[in-house]
Amino acid sequence: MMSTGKLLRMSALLALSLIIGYVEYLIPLPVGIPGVKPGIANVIVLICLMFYGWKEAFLILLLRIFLQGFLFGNFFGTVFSLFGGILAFLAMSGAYALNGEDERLKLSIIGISMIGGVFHNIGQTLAAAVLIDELRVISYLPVLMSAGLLSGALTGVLAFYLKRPLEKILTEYRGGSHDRISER
Amino acid sequence: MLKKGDIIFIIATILACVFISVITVKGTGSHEAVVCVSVDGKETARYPLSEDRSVLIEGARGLKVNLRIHENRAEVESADCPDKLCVHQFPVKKEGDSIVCLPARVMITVRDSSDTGGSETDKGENEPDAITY
Repeated sequence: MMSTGKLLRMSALLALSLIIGYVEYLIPLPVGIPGVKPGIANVIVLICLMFYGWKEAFLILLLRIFLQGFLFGNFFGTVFSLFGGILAFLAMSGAYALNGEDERLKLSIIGISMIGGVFHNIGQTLAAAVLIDELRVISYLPVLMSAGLLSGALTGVLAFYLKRPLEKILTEYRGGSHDRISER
Repeated sequence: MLKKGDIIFIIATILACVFISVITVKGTGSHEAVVCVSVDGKETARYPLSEDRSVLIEGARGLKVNLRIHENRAEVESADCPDKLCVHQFPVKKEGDSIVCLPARVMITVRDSSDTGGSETDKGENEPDAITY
């Protein structure tokens, strides 16, 4: 298992993402597909990614989707989020893996976030097409992909600027009497 | 802040959006609005909404319904039915809107030219569940 310090920090991040998610949930978006939100809560997933790694980010993502679904979501909204979230994560990690050595082609956290945003919405659209049994929702894709691009960019920029301030709080540092308990 | 890979992705997404919107619009044909007339649940005629015309629809039990398409709207000008509810209904112009004359079992719907209208002109829809006198 992970160290206590990390566990605590990730728990705090998860709680934070739920609060952000709740505020987002209060904002209704006039789009035909239910459950579409700005997705700012995903900044937490990005932060987790930057500081801890892919596995931790995936864990936070899944936990956030399920907890949000139980607390203030409906079944369909959660299913859409799950579809979108997993597809987005696959796309993000896949893109990052394919990044390669060529420094010019690299992706920044903003790019990764945009990929996540776009593919999240693609995943939701596909889920809707399957669940509602209506293939014509595909026509929403251009709008949703652009929206995903935008919100991904927003979230990415947010994560980008939060990195430095959070460095002190989120990274584990050795030393200090209070840390001796968590070293396991 | 933005790296080259990011820019590549943005451009790729925009291209994908354009591509998909071209494909989906092409799929729905010319996007011409069409007035579909069905009697007794079966489609009998289709007229483009853009052309003015007057049509006499032969409904059930010999009741005739006067359909008038004018200025991109379709309405019932007159009808032989006793209640004349269809005459009083607002003219329709948006896809999905419809005017129904129950005694004559006539349904007038605005559709897209490529829509075969299978879901709404099911025979069951036009059959009243019960008629009271």
